[in-house]
Amino acid sequence: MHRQLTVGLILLFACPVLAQSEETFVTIQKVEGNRMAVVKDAGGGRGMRSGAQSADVTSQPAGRGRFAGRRPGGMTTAQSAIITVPATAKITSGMRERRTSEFRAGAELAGGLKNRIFQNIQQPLSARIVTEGDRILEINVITAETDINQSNTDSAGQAVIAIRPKRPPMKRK
Amino acid sequence: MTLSRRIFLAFSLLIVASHSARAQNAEGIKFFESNIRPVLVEHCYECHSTKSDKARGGLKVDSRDAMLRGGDSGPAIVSESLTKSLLYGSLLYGDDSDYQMPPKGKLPDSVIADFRKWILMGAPDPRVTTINANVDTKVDLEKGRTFWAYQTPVRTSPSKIKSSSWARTPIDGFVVATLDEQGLAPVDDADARTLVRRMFFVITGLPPAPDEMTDWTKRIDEASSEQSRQIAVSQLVDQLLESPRYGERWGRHWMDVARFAESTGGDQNNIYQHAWRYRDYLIDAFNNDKPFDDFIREQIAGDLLPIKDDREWADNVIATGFLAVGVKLVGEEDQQKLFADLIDEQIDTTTRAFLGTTVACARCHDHKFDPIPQEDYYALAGIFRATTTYYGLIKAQARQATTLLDLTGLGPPHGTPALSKKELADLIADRDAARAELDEAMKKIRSGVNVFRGTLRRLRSQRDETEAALQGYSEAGEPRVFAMGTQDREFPLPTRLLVRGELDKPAQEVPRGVLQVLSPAGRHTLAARMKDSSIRRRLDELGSPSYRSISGRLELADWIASPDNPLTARVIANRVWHWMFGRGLVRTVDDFGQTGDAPTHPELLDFLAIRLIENNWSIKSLVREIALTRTWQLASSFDESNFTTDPDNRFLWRMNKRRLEAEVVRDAMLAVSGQLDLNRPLGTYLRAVGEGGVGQNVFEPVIRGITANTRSVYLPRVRNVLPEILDVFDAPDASFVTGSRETTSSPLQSLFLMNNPFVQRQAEALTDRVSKYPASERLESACMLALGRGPSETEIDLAMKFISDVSNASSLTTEQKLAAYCQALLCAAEFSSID
Amino acid sequence: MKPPFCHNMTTSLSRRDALKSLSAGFGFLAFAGLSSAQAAEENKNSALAPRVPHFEPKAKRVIFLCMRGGPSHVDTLDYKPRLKRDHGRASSYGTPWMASPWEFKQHGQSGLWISELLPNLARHADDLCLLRGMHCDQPAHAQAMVQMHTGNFQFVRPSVGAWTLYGLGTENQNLPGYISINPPTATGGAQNYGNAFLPAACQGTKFTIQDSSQRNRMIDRLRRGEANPYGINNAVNEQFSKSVQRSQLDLITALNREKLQQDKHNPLVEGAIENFELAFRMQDAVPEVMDLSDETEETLALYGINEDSTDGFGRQCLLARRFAESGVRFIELGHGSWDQHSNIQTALADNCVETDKPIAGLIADLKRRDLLKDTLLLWGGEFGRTPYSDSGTGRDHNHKGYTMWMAGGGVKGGFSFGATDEHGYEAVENKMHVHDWHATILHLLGLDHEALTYRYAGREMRLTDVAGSVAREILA
Repeated sequence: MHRQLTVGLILLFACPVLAQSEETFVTIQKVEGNRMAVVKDAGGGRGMRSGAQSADVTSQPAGRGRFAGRRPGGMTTAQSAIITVPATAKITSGMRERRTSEFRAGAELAGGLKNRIFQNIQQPLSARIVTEGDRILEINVITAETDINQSNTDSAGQAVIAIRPKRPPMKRK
Repeated sequence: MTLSRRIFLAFSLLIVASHSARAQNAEGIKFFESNIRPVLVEHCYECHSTKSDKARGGLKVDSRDAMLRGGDSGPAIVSESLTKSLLYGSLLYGDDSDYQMPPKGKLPDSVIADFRKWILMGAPDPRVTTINANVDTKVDLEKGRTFWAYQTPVRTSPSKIKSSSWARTPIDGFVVATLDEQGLAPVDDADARTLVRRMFFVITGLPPAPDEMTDWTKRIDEASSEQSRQIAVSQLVDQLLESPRYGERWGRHWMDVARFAESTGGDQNNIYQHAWRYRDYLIDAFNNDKPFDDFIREQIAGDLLPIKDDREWADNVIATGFLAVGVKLVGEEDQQKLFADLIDEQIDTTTRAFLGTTVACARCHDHKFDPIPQEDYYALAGIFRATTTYYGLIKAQARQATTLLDLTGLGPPHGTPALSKKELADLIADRDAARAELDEAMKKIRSGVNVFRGTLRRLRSQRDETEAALQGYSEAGEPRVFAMGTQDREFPLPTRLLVRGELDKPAQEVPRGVLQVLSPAGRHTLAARMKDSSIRRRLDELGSPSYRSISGRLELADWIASPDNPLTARVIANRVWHWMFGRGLVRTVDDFGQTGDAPTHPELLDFLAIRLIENNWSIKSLVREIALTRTWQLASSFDESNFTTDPDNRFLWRMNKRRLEAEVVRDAMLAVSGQLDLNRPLGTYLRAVGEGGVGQNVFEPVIRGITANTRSVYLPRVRNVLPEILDVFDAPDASFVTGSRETTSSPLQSLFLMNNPFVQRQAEALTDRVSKYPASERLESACMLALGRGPSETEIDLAMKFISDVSNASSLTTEQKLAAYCQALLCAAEFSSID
Repeated sequence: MKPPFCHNMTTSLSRRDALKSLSAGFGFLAFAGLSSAQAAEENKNSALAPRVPHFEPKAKRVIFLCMRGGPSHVDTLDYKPRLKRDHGRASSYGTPWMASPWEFKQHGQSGLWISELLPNLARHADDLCLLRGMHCDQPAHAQAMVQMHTGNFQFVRPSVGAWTLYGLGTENQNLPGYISINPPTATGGAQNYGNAFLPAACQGTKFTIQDSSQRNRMIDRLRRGEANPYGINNAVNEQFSKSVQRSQLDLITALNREKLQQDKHNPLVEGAIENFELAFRMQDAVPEVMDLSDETEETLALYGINEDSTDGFGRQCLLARRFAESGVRFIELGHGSWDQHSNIQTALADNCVETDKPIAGLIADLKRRDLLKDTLLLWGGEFGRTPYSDSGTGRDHNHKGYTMWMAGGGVKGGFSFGATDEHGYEAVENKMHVHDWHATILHLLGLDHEALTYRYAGREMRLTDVAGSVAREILA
């Protein structure tokens, strides 16, 4: 089983993008303990746009509601796998920036895989998995966080108009 | 099924699926070409393609990437998913008219079926952006490296500097050597009064008060020797440099260079409510005589510099407002284009401000005049592309809004007063009411009632504005501290040279780096530079050994601020010379390239550059040194023979006469009338006008209605809506780097001086001051207050004649006549100029 | 994709060059009391004294009616029967052809086809010279606007009005030589009436009067505030009587002359002396020219003043005539927006209602005062519009083919020059680029566009850059 798992991993993550680590875009179907059922995104792996799948009423005009529920998922079951997430892997939020289509990782999710977004997954979560060789380094889950290009307020009510900058290192000496 | 069997099944399906995917590809492309592409061209390209230069809703459909990226609402196409492919949804012509495409009419069912088939088969699409052939350069870098401005400044040994009885300082030695060469002779030294007035205006931007004038002229005139005279002068210089007025004056100079303004300008002109922090940073930096190399590094890479405490961190971040306050066309739909233009603006400003080089000219082709290949532009672009710029604005008001940087609790002062409990409650209530209104409207829409699109837009805008207003405060009503600035991305973005600067024509990938002509061959890339141990050492000295930035911006800043960069010290030394003399040694202060002027005193320029570096890049030291030269203390007297040879005074045979800048004219009027309020105001006056674009949510009359007797540097600086007095007297509109202001001469200035109520009010206030003197002294004290000197005999006659003419012709009171006289003094050319 | 907006070559112009031209051999202006001509006589070397053009001019002054936003030519002045036939059919540009909702008829002896949107203008068909083959380089407002005014959309160059002043000076030294009424603040802003590297005196002076029709007035008042009745700020002194002000001005000038005498050479002070005098004269001349009370009721009605839709632009047109009469050399009026991407049926009709009568009134008024023969009228926008529909209810930008017209000032009347293709999309016959338009304007003013140059940045600069040819076919 281990071997199959490993082979599955290798095939699953067979599209190197970054020089050293590799990223794969997936949709998380279900999380159980430290195991995760994922489906690899086909066709370029763009993942979901941040905020677009939130429950924000304003970004979903009525027209789309008509077929939003008709085909749940609408995806093939090919290229799915179950992976075990090592304890050392970092679980963070993530978002795709509109300007450059670049994916950026956000802050770590409290509780890792125990975070509430992984319980009772209704709509599959888009995420990026960063691996090195066959080791999973990071899983960045797209959450309804606003990105630098302000999205509309999400229905959770928290608008973000300013973010804390990243702290540079302290001067030594 | 056991877990292992399930995995095995998934595994095999994976192989099968990928195999079949491969097999379909060629057929899929064929299908695309015959059934999908023609439809896109005919029905979609008009509004969603590069060819027609349109990107409605931020969406282009003319390439695979563009469709997968999508627009404002999300990806247009998601492989194999009909529900996620917004394009398909809109073809179906749902209820929302925003998502009925094409707008002219629903496409035939067979076409829609084709799209369905195409998406489900994985949306194969051959329209990937082709990489163009490498663009070669014809720039001869070897030859370019010989240009004067790219040579390291040469130290002239003191013995080589001409000794002359006239020269008092080494700078004078250089000047008199050139004068001799040109057959010119310096005029007399300025008299004490002229000198004192000049000193005050140049260093602090304010006239001396009468008692200051009397006091200093006495000290200078009564000095027994030249030496003690210079001691008195140096005491004056030191006093003025210590005054906080100096920072307000010289910070304003730098604001010209940094194209500082409090709005986006461009198409929508939205207000930057937080730009003022950068303004105050500049003023404080000059007052504290921050070493100029630190100043450079902080403005380019402040967010990346190692820090000793929170406050330093916050101030450094605020400094990066330099990169954020430029012009932006925030109504732009195409995100990629906006990003590219933002980078371009940053490259242009950075290179012109610090290096006097117009690198942005190389965006579309090799620089036409300077040895800057197109690759250099993209080498720099790679660094800025790895940077995110935070400038705020409200999403509902500006399509291209971003978040701001939150510095609450790190030390910078608040920019707004704290809220009372009631005010906070009001803000919350406003926000809730706006939300409720919007929810109402959304409910209506969902239940089928038609809601006017404009109303929906207004409600969304209202919700966002009230939310943002509330977000400006903590839960306790304490103002939060926001700033505009930059941050690095997670990873740098590979950058390709763009043929003719066009986004859809990428050519070779260009590694990040600095200007080639300023580096030895092949050593200009960031990678190559990081191999140089001396460069690494210098970076380590910033405080955190081995710390490097992701974007390369820190390394870029260090390259610019390096004493080894031949341009940097020269450019700033030249700017200081320009601000001291009214004209630089290189007249084209923003352009040290081929189309700029050559320096009139090349050795002197090098001397100043080296001095500056040796004095730890202290601007105050340079100002002081220049002010104590005999050259700077010359009179501005006319001399026939000198004028014939050198009418423009390029060689400094006298001091230049100049009209004062707009801010100084206004400040002088307020100082003289006694109305000037020297306190720094809280934050920005634009607080009162709120967020939004000028003409949409914010209105010109409201901005122009802001009046304050504060120093002009603190007045609201909205692009295209400058205060009238500043506009009329040539304050720059902050579209680009302006190291040298124009001095226009127009009847509108005269009309302003004669008729504008502001001038009349100052004249009246001046009259009040003057009226405190006995009647016989009033004319004189008016002259003293306004011009810093007593009136001449002729002027007394003129004044008396004026008073009598006016008395005969009208029934003005004594006060009014005196006010008319005082106003005439304010209108006189002498008031708004220095000799 | 259109190349990105290029950068200005340089922003640090030498004002010394400009001021030099003001002060070389300068003689002081005569003070109030002298007639304008006499003042000009004494002032031959003043920057704006009238100059003799290169050759005999047809026009002595220009009135440019700038229709911002790009007016649709296929709905107004370019009749395309084929477009009518093909209405609704797919065009080769994506969206279907859209015929003009309005009828075209022939007018005047010349039989020019003009749409029913412009009934008043149509009555003057025999005065119009339609330029139906216009084209320019950029379909974006800002660039096209700047190109229309300065000949160049990449660099900061002087406007056509500034070049005109540079070549011809102005007749009335009491008023600015180049006046632009209600110029747009965006789409180029002050660049559109700026002088760039030409002497400062060639700059246009911006006048602001209440915009468009009365229905927009409230919005404008909100956005921009109350417009000054004199068109410029600070035009009038509210504090002192004329004689007090004159005394005050004498004092200021005397003080300045004192200083000038001491300085022996100071272009700034010379400029100040001249400007105060001009400003003083403007105080009288501007309110006088802006005051319509000496116009007859009939004249006001002719322009549609005090009538709801036409009041705003009517006032602009009447002022233009008054400026022209007073010797102002180049006058630009502004109306907008003609950028009908949608709702063309109402919005375009409204625009025409607001401008048609006033423009016709201007033509008639100039004619009966015998001014039309040497006043060149220009009408047009920065581009035209597409004959296929944009959104279903409007038209998109079209820089490839559109219509402008000229009247008076030496052009043929009742004439049509140039043509677009059968749908009205692209100019195909006697194409006229903005450079050609500029060259022709200068020619009518008696200036050779290749000889009217100014040395700057190492080059001999001219309005038409390295292009432009005079359209001799339209010269009367």
